[in-house]
Amino acid sequence: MHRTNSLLTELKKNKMLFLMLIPAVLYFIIFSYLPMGGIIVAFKYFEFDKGIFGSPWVGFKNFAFFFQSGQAWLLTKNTILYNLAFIAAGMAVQVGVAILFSELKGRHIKKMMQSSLLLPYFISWVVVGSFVFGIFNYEFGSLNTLLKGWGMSPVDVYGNPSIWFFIIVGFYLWKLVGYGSIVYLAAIMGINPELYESADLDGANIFQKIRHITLPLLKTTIIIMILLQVGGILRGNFDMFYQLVGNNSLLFNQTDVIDTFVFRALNQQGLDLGMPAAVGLYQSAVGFIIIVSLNALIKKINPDYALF
Amino acid sequence: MYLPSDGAPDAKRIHEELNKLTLKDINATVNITFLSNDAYNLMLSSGEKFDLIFAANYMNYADNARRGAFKEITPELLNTYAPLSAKESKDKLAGGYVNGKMYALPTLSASFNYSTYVVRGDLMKKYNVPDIKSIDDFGVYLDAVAKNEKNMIPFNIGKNDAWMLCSLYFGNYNLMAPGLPNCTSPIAIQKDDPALKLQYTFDFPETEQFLKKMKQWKDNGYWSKNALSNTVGLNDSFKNGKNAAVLASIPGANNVYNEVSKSHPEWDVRIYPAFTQGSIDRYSYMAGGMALGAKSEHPERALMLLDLLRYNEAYNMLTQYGIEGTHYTLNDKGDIVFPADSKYPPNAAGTWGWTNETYTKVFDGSFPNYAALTEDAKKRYQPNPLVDFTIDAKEISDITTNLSNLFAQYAAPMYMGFIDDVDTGIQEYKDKIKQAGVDKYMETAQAQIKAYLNTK
Repeated sequence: MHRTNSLLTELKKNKMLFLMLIPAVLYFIIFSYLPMGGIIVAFKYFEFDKGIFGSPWVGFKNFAFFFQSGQAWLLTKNTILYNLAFIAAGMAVQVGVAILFSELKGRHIKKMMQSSLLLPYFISWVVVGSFVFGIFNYEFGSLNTLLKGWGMSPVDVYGNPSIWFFIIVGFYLWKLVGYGSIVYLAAIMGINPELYESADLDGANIFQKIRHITLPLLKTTIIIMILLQVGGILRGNFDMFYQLVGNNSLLFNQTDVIDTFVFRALNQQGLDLGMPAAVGLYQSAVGFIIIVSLNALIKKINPDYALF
Repeated sequence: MYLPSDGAPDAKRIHEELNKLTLKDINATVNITFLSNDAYNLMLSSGEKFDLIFAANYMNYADNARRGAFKEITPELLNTYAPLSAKESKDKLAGGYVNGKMYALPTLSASFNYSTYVVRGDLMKKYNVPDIKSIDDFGVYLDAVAKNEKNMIPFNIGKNDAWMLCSLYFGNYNLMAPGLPNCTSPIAIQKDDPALKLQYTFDFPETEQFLKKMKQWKDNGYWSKNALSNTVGLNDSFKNGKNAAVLASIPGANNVYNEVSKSHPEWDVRIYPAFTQGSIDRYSYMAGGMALGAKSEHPERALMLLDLLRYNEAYNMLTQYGIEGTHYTLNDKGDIVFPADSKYPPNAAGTWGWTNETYTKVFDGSFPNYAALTEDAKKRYQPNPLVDFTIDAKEISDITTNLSNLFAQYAAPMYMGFIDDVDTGIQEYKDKIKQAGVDKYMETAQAQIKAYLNTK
């Protein structure tokens, strides 16, 4: 009794706020919660005339192709390692850039540099993929033309799998650092300037201020950002990998992630909703387990930083 | 009616003309919508109500039919509403049957699995290259280009072109893959084997020799060291003068010839047959066809329309070539002439489902030996008892998925010569497909072939 009463009064009290919440709630119900019912297609043999719910059950058969491919472990490992590299390198560079910008004094130079860092974010991976090929291809690529011009021997980038890890992480940073640093920059702007002023009075230099004021106050933001990204740790950045590497099977052992593998494997077949849904479910389930356990771990160490 | 195609500028006008005819003849009109290949699958899975749709083996016709995407065309329906199609020879309808039931009416045009080399006559003359009569002769031509034309890549294949090389191999060595559209199958049948026994492609000594030759070609620089990342197609780089050879079907070669003989007559483009030994195979008539939607509400009108499109000259010519005088004219030889920048170019408006040889015209300006090569294909054609067979992969879909993926990862680079040692490469590929269950795949395929031949 008491609970319902308080809920009603709560609703009444914050009428406007709840009203404003409705569109977001509807959005998630329609686009995130309702489609979850479709997960069952991962356990079905999809037939067109019967639809998702009428199709016959096949148990775990749709999962079989992925785990029998002999690649499941390699792909999971690649996907996780790449994502860890993206998260770690991305965070370090983004925080660094954000701090740099916050310390820059000239207004115009700051605006200009920020825009030029942000610009790559708007270039499609398709375009990036084609100019990467323009740079690195063996016969007529600009890198090799340059090397030959200097009298050095050309390098076969596409035949050399080990450097692709760095190329991919490099392009990831180039494209996303500008955008990612905005969040951190906003967090830095939110820090009370009085803290810096009193530090100035105490004679702290710029590095001491960063070390003892900016970084500790950014910690919450950093942890939240990491938690948000860890949930998708089994999701490969499909368009990036696909556009940069494509079907170059010489590089697969170093660059293949779950998403590109599934795309390749099922693209050649007819439409089978079951198998891609099965792999998607695997990715989501593992991602869910990872984020829940990481959150629990953080909660144990310091409850203030946990997401939920 | 849904057709997978980008359409043509004047398609709407043609559709209006078509509807004038249908209103008169069968008291119905047809609403034609174009859609992309990707949207095709989504449309089928959405469960939308429609009457007619294009279907073809290369778009997984049989698998879609087994999954209930199409309405069955029962003998009663066919006899009553499409009497002309019902009277068609069994041979031409066979491709439309899946598990003994008819789900589509296949086209009425035979298309042969016959490839040609499209090469530059000016370069052949310049470097004294003899006529191309075999794979090795083709190698001689590529070699001359590689040694002398430093700004060209002789055979500039791209990332998805490994199938060209394996089809060159299959086509010249009398091999065929049952129930799969192309040579990416790890198992094959020797066409002259009366028992139609399935064998592992990579056990043949010829495979090893061919792969070694391809490695040699790649090492000689006949294609780019980065071919696996090259996204530019052969045709485009040929037209731009960056590439000296194209491998294409007869109609494909004709398209290239038509375009290039106008823009660069000095190149003296020549076309040679690429399958120089063995017999020639025909694709199933189900390389294109029309099916009824599973939830079609007017199957009888749809079938009446199909009969008209397939067998009525006015309907067929209108949909295939447009309006006479505007979109095409016929010259005194009976060849068809298209105006420059036609607003209804042939083979653009998705009408591949009801082509009919009887009404198909030879294009004016076709390459000189066009008729000779078509004749050669017909003469060397050997009927193939499995031409309309498709594997039912329902129980082994995990295996087939992994096999096609393993081809892309291991066999495709080998066909393109990207392997340090061919023998270890073959062994590795064989180990991988064995792990993936190729034995079970072969067993299933062999059993299905046996059952298929028994019912035939």
